[in-house]
Amino acid sequence: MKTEQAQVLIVGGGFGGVWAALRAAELTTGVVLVEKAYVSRSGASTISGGVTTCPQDGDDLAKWAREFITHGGYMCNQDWTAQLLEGQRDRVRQLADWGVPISRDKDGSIRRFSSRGMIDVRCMQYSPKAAMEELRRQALARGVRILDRVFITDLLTTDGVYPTRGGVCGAFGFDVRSGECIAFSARSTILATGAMSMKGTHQIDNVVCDGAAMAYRAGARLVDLEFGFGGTFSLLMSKFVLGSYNVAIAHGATLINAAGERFMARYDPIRYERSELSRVVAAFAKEVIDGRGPVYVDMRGCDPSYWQDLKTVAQIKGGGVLLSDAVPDPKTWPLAIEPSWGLWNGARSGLMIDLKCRTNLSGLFAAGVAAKSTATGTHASAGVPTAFSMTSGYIAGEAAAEAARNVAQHSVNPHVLRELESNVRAPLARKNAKTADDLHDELTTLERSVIETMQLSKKKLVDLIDRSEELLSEAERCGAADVHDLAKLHEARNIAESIRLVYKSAIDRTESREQFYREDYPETDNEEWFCWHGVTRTDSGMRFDRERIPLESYAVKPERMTPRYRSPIAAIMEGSYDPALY
Amino acid sequence: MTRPSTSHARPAPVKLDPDKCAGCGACLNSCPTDVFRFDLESQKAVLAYAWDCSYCFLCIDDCPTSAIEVDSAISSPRRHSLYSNLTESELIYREAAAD
Repeated sequence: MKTEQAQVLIVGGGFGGVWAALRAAELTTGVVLVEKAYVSRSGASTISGGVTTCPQDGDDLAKWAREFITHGGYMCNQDWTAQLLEGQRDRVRQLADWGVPISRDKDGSIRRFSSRGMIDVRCMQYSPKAAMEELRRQALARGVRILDRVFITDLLTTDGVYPTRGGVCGAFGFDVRSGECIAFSARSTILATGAMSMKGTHQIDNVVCDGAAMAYRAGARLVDLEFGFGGTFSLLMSKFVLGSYNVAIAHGATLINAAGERFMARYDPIRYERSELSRVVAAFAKEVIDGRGPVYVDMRGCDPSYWQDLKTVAQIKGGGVLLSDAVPDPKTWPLAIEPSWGLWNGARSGLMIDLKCRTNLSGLFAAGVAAKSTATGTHASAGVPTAFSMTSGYIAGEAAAEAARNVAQHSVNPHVLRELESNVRAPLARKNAKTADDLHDELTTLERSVIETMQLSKKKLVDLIDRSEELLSEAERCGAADVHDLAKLHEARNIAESIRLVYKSAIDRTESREQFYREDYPETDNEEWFCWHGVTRTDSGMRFDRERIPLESYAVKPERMTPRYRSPIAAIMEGSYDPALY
Repeated sequence: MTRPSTSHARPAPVKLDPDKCAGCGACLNSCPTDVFRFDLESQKAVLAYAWDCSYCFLCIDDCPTSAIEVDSAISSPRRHSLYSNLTESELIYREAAAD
């Protein structure tokens, strides 16, 4: 086993992690960034649609903040909202200064478009891969030590106990090629591990649930896990690749049902396909349930710049394939489309952080979508996960570097490290056991079609909790043929641990709210559930809490808060949706 | 040896042409799910874990000799679709349906 020391250790090399490393390295030496794949070729940041919130000098950011807060159901820390928008203005300027390709108008200014669900807030499209490559270069230039292909399995705690009564003092993991275990002792640790997701749904199969699971085991507080479901639209005919749904609809694409009707007119006659994603997905599901499917994306009205952008900016995901002259060509023929709906938390849930990205555990910070963004509420625009990742990364890097000055390096008990090593490597000794792939296959059966997954109930959740607990205990009995399998097995265990927490959080929340829909509690209940919903591991098990949102201390308040009302998704599914009410 | 899972009971979506591979090793960095390894004997990349390909297409751009292909028509058995019972021709929009 190898041991390493760091002033600031960052786990995860996507937007959140690399921005954290960059900022920390401006303030201290000894910044170490570990990534289980390869920084610039890993995570959602690299292969996302390349859409981010784009505030610039001269924009009235108070107005933008108001839009985030009202569309997010007021479930925000409004100080975070302001901090996000101001920070993002600097991040965008920096990306442009570095020469990262950004979609531009003829006069050279950044081309901005209004994003899904928003009217004032503007987004831009950039090349995500080029952005990550530049970030890697900048990190190395500032002396950040990057360790690629190291899988972190556990946080190290100051007392060696899980859940800890102390704090976090580093992390433990292994090299995914050599299998060598590595213990990192660090004064500050930043968890920037990315989204909670499963394998097989989002074409980013190394983004799973590592951060949430290791944080929970160590005793960190997670919030709003039941809001961790999300969707992405993808084409049914896999030889065509859409690029980003958000960018396509911003450039004139529409959704139509089998009868050729632009059905979103019935659900949101103002924003149509740019409505809240959950409402578009629910409307999609309702069309199919009522026999009006399949649903098609009609790109015949896309302006020429869309096709040009696909070629020049969205360099990945086969833009060339889309623009082939194959029949039916998407430029002249609507293509069948459907959303996925499953675990994909996108900053709607995660580790609870304060304005300096500190978690409830001393020494532990969180950034990117491993953290819960309280800057935005139940709905945010398409560019928010990337914006939040960059700015929370920057803030976490600064705060972690400053905190590192005031604490001593903690020496970890060698007995604890030996036990971690033994647990991490144990599956390699299990022969003829179930494999990690079996486990991933079974985990993905917890999620089903969008119609099934979007509509929850106590009955369904009891079953899902039972099955996820069974899979979590199975993970302890699975074997790994080699080190590659070992990494996948730890991923499966982390998914099982996390999805169980998601379902437990969902059964605890006895209401429906925006994208979270329970058939047995179809109303939004502001008396009971206007709060951040926390879960923490304690010695006596899982503990839930409800943290009041201090609306009275914020600038943006509703005229009146309706105590209870039919949730929008409930209304869509019941066929009683009245757009004027929402 | 452990038995193959259902995910492995399908052709792998990623293919590597050894004749085209120049042995530069770029794909070993490209792949988020780490499907490539370097074979010292042939001095070329090999597909050690092809079934783990998750269709990100990053390796395709990174390979300087276009030795890698990813066939997105081979879909992941882990993906859920509402339309799985429809054929490709049934997924084509027909104006007639609007009549």
